[in-house]
Amino acid sequence: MICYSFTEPLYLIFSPDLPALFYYSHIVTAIVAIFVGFFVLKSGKKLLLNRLLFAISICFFFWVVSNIILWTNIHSNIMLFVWSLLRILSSMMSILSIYFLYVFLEKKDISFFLKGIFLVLILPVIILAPTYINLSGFNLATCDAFMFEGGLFQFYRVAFGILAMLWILILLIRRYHKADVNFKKQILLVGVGIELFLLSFFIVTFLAAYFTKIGLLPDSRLEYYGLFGIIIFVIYLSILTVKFGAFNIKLLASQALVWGLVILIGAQFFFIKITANFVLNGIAFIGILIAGPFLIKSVKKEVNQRELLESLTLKLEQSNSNFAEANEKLKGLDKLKTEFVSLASHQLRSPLTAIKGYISMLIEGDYGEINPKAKEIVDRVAESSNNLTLVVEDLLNVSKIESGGMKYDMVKFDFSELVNNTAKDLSITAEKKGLKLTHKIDMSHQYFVDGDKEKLRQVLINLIDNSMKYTEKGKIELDLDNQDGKITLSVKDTGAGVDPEVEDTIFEKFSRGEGAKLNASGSGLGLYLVKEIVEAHHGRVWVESLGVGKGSTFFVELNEVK
Amino acid sequence: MMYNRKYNYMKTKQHFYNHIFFYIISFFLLVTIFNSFYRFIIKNDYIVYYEDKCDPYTESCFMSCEADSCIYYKKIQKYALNVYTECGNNITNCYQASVCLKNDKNCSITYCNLNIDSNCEFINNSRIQNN
Repeated sequence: MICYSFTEPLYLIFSPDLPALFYYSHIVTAIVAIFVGFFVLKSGKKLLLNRLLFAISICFFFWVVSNIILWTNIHSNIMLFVWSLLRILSSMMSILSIYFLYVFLEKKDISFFLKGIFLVLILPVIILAPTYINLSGFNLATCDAFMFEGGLFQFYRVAFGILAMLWILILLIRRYHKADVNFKKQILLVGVGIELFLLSFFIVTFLAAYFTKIGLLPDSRLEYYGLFGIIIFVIYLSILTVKFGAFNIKLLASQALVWGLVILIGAQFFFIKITANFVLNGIAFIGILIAGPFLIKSVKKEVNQRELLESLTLKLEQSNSNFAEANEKLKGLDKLKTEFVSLASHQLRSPLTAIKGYISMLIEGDYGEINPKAKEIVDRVAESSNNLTLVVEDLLNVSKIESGGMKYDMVKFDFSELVNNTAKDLSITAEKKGLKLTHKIDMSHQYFVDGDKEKLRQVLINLIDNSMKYTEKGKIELDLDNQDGKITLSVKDTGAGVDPEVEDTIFEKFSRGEGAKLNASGSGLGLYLVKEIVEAHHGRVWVESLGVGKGSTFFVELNEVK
Repeated sequence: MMYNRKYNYMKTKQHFYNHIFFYIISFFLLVTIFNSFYRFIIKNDYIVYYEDKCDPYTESCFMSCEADSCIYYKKIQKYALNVYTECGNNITNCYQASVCLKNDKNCSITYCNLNIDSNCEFINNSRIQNN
């Protein structure tokens, strides 16, 4: 039966009796609700929180659609059918809001018991909604069913709505106290949003219906304003999503802004009656549709770059941390190695000293004459033990330097005297190898230095020994000069030379150039020790060579002391 | 294969228990929607109230005045199915809608009672009819 005082709407929902605000408040909010619902669901189909929000938005959407039908339709049977559903939908929104909040706060589904309680509360509304307990008739004169609504059912429904709001409030307060600072902000956003939504929706729709029923209002148009509660809710959810990434959505503020503007400006078309305003609104709408995507794209690009930079920085920090850790481990290992070398060398020293002592006694005939063949072998043993002693000494010195235990006994002495004596001592060894060792000292200068005589003697021995090892034939020349307070000793040989590629690394530990093929007995530490000792005396050492096979000249520079 | 069947059964059972709230709600919602549709759309099982024309010369009428014109009406309540059967969708210009017939269920016509409502109009002293 049709309501005889009202006219059929145009295109099913457009009634001339209703103001533009009706359509603005209903259509815009329905679009916003369904859009947000699907957007959230799409972002996390398997997440319970997203599904619940979708369910709330769907209930709200259908509530709005039902309400549009109720306001525009004039068929009593259709209106009663929709009226019965309306009460169910508003109660569903309340119960789903409580469920939603539980899941949001606890980050997990609710217990079986709580689900049971929710069912017990909502099922009477669902089951009794289409019965006489809720709706017994329809008023064709006013085209509504207010006078035929069951008092008990309405009381239960209203009490249920109030209970839901109180329940949410208590839940929020209790959880807020236990939450950390970050989560407190999120609780506030969700809590305020959801309460404002329920409050505005429930109170206004309830009050509008109640005042209409008791005759205080001619109709329930007041409820239009309650629907804007969903906009408030969506705003709070948007802030939550943008700031905290809630619902597993990566939403930029610019996206939310552009979409909000599109909906807001687009909805104006229902409201505007003046042509000029319609045109201006259209221009603004088109502008947003064109400029909006560009804005979103550029902001997204910046955000992505910033995030990439942050992740790279994090990776870099992690790498640095790993490197630092590895470095510490290496330092530890290096220290252990140094200690081991020192210990091993000390352990080797004593037996070597004993070997050298007995060999020298044998050579000197303390145990009687030895035959020439045996003497030859004993001489070789003596030479090998001397070489081994040198290697052990080098190892010990290196371990002392690395552990910072090398001590220098600095005194003022004549360096030229040291060069002279050392050259004389080693010339015999050089002759045995078929090499000529000469030395030239410019006696017009002074050669006093402040240094450790023994260590500098070691430097000279290592340099000369190094030249002897890598020179098959020819000569080794020592040259000492003093220019402007810089005492320079050069050790020039006609040996294997130095490959320019390894010139920079020749003074490093265990570095042996091409010439290593000539000599297998070197430890690779001689020149390293030379460099360390000379640098400890504030001097410098370097090598010059024309290339492989073209000989080399080692230089040592020390500061003269007057 | 037996294992797979048992596994699927357990999985379905677990899924059901996890979503029992929504399954029960959905079931009752569907039942309610069907019930509501059947009651209101198909059976027209409800009462309708409307205000019909009233002759103040013969009946005690309710009165509603706006500006200089006044409308006189009586209140009628009838079972929707009866009204629908008798008058169709539109009750205007339908005599059966203005009276309570013998077979009408839950039918009542309420006239204005001078003792209760001061806004009554009864020009002649006719008896008030009540069914």
